Amino acid sequence: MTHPSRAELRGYLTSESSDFEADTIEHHLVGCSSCRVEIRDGEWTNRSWRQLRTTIRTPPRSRPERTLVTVGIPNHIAHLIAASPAFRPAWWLSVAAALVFAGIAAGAVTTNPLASLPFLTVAPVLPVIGVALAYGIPGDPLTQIAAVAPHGGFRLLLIRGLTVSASSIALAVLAALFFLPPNAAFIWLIPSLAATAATLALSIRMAAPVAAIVVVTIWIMLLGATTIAGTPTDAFTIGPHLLVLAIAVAIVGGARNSAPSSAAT
Amino acid sequence: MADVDDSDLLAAIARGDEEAMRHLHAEHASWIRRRLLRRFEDGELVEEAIQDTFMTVWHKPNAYRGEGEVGAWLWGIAIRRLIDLIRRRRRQPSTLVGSVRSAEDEALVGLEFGEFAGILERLPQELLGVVRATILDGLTTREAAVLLGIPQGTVKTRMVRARALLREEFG
Repeated sequence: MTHPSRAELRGYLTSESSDFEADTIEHHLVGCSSCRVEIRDGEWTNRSWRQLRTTIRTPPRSRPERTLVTVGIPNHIAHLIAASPAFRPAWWLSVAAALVFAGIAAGAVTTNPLASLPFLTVAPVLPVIGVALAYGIPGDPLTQIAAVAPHGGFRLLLIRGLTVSASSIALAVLAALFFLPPNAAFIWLIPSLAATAATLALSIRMAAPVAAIVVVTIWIMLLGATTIAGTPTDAFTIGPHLLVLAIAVAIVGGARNSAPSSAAT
Repeated sequence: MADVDDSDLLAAIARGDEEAMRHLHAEHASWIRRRLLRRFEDGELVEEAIQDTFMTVWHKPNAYRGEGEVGAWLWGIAIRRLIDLIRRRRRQPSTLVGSVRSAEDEALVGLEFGEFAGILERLPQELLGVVRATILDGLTTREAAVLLGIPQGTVKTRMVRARALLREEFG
């Protein structure tokens, strides 16, 4: 087949050719490399390629992330959740290890009324550590991203913190069913939720790891005091009240000083 | 670049060769874009269709079975990606239907192209658009309707008229 002339190709590009000419040229271009080169828009091609290359190089979504998106969670939030420690094997392993050791310690002395104390001390604290891990670990690339994200540090922390807390609480429920007598299996749950909420609230004012340390310290001191007084279970009724107080203080303080905490400083 | 065979490029792409992908894109993206723009004037949608097309090629280069020109295969993907995008924009559910190309149409395409295009030229303008979409671009009635923005029934009646006229030209 004869090649179209340069003038004809130019006419095609400027939409000046007749339908007949244009159809013929299009048919010809399908199989003719030299004419394709002739009509190539180099600048546009470069731009289009750079865009395509970016998409090609973007790593495919991880399986948890794909699952979250199918369930209906928006893309960007699914990405955040999937990047949280809750989806790292190391996190699950350490939570499981802590629970097992606490559980064994509790199980070893079943006759003692304080038997469950090690477990009951550890279980509420785990999600708090999760929150600290979720935000503000030096060297975690997401910490740096979070520090400059327009998303607002607190919302980010909330999303990640809740994911990690939920994962550790789920494990703690399993461990509690296994190690504790049924009547005591869930008394840690309310302090655990309160401690998590308090950590999240305090994170408005301070870096998440610091908030976690504050909450854990309050919790351990309270347990120590009630144990010395001979009524350790009081900690599980007083604890939530104290922690709710901490939340109130944090929010009132946070309203006055609304600058979000920055883990990067 | 003309000395590199397109099917070799596809084989390299199947091994994850980004450079081969760049060559294939450089060779084909520009003319496909022109051809799409001649059928649908929304530049933004055409850009998206081009990106989608080459992403499809990147992920499934083996979908090319070695039959016919790689260029024709790419065009087939591109025009369908564009139609999908138009459909999504109009929020119409997409349904797959078989091709409407009849044996008669195949005979038309089998003609020396110049001769066929010469016959087409004698068709009224509104029939030409339908014939181009179905016979030249190989679209189904439904796809042609989306591309041309007319009801499917209209595509069908115009095709009937066009076939009758084409038969006269042959005869």
